[in-house]
Amino acid sequence: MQFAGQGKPPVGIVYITPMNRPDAALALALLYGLEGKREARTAAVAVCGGSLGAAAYCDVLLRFYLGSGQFLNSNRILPVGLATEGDLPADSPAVKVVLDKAPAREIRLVSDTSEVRAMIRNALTGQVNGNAVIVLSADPTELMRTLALPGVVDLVKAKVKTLVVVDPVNADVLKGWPTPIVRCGREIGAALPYPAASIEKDYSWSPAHPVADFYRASGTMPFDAPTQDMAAILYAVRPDTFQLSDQKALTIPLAQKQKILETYIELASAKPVPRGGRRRDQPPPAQTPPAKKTP
Amino acid sequence: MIITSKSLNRRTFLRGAGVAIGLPILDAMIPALRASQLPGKSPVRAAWFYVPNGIDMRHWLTQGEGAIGDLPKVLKPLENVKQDVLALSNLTSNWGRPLLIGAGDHGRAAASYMTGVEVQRMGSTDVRLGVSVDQVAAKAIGHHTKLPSLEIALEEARQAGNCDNNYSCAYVYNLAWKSETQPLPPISEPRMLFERLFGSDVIEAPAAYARRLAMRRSILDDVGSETQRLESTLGATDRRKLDEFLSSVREIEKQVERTEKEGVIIDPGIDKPFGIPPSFDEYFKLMSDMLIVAFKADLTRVATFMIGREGSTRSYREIGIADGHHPLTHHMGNQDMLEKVCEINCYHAKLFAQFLERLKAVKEGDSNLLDQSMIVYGSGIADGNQHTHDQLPTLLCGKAGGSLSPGRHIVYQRETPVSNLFASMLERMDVRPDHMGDSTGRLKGLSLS
Repeated sequence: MQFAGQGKPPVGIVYITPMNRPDAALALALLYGLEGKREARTAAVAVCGGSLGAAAYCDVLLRFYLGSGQFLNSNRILPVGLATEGDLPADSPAVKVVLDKAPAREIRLVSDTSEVRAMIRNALTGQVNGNAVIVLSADPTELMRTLALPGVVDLVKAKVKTLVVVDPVNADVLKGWPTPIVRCGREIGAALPYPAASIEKDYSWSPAHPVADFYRASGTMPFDAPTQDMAAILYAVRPDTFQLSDQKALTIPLAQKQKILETYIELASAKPVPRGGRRRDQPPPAQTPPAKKTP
Repeated sequence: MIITSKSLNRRTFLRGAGVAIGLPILDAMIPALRASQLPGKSPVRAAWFYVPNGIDMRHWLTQGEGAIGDLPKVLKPLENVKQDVLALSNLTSNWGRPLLIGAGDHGRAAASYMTGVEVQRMGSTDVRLGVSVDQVAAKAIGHHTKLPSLEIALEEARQAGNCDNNYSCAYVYNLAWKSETQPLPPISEPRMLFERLFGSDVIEAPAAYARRLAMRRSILDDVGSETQRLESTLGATDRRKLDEFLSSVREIEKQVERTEKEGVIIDPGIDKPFGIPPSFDEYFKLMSDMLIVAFKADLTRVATFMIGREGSTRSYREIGIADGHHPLTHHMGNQDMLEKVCEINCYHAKLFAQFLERLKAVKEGDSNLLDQSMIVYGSGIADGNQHTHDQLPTLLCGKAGGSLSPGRHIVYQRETPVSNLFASMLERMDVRPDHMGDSTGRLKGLSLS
């Protein structure tokens, strides 16, 4: 939720992914890194074309970075959706590796996930006008079905600044989408591969880091994974980092290349800082009575 | 059942001076040789019972799909009717959430629950909402009955004033909304409800009405000759049914008169107008009995029943709880307060269960009235302490004429709009609007057939 009248809120991000590549895990880690800096707010994560385990993995990551307390019985929309039309695919080895280790796994059944269309729509209702970006890196069917719900075209027009579409999503099926669309091509991901060395070094602060474990299990180490989802997330939050071509496709300014890579590494591997605050079901901290003044 | 070649009009009324009493389904109303179609022909009724301030969700059914087994504490009173109950988990009322507004959850909860639209915060007197699900149904099928819909509450309704963070009181006291700006205030006085059900469409002159009340004449006296004439045309079974029905009307009338004689009851927990039964049990029973009669006589097929207005501060001295309900729900983890909330929830569930049992005891053709109904028991708030609007406590009771398969617990994906349930209910009344509130479709699995 974003409350008006409290300064400009961070941009709300809806991320739609099958969560089947290390790039997707890194992108979520980057998003939570940006959220830790109060630059972004995860409005919703929807797994489309992915397995139940992929949704569970997103939930593990979310709790790993943001803590588990704030989502339990909170008014914040549980931001992990799962498209359930048709047969769900089996969990990938990378997902299995993480879930086998994950102690704080809240998603075990389909009913622990959110219905994607309602979740995306509901998430947008909580965003300040023009302050949401949708990053689409999965089959666009659910997003377009969301758009077909009554009132959602107007809602999207009001709330969504940009739709960032990651290759290989076919943008042709997005006809009728009412906001500007920006394309994030494979070349962007290939131009800045994520260094495997960072996985071994920068994530070692946790003995079971869900991003590092996912990455390692996705291929034969060492390998440098392409990063187009990371680019899409970074553009959604810091659009000035990239340039846009005439065809509204992301391009990387040569001078920015190293800086962008450093940003990826720094934010995705950042250790989350525990947040303060108290939940309503917790009693207030004991008050120390004021010391009596000595006469 | 006696099958005759004649048929009595389903909408036959016993009329007298200022009185019009609808009748239950009699054999004489069923055309010859079509009796086997009775279950299909008998109308489906729908009612929404609204519980204020959420539920102690520690003791609500939240886990385990499938047949309902052992009931948790709050639902324990429903043990006798659990085979008539569908427990539906993970439904959401998104527009109850703070979203961009912030505080005012009670101002939004009831208003958004049955409309599925944004509740506009417009100060103490202005309102803008949407048409509630009961009124969507009433508009489509209300012409079949004397009353298109019936709105009942157990707290007197205020229509103006600031009830929660600049949300109008109209939002917290009304469930039924006929249009964006027109709530249908519920009836909280037994006499008024009785007159609404059994008064004629012809407005009785005030003097005549006052004379009848002063003389303490029963409305049955006014329809005596009509009753005799009708009875002479009925078979033995129908005469017995008619007699039972009129006796139940007389019982309710006597109860209304009794409470009026007792006058104003002082209860510090809530303002009570004249003629309200002294105990909440009796009040609930009297008002819900009138709903049963209304369904039985097909006076209406659509009703809302506010057990309390959203944010209600009623105290429940009947069960030894002197604290206000709403303050108790903000327990901040205090176990003593939590237990009291749980006791109130159990108390409401007990009264609701008794209502279901009475509804089930009413025969209708080869079936019973509960089997012909869809009764929702729920709230627009789940956890009253944190003001959550997802994972709402929701029961759907009855069989809707055979199109529901109760006795089960279904857990949907989270964020599934509660409006999807209401759209599914409308469908079972042959009402198919383009969309209902913020629904994204229909709920799957409500029927096993």
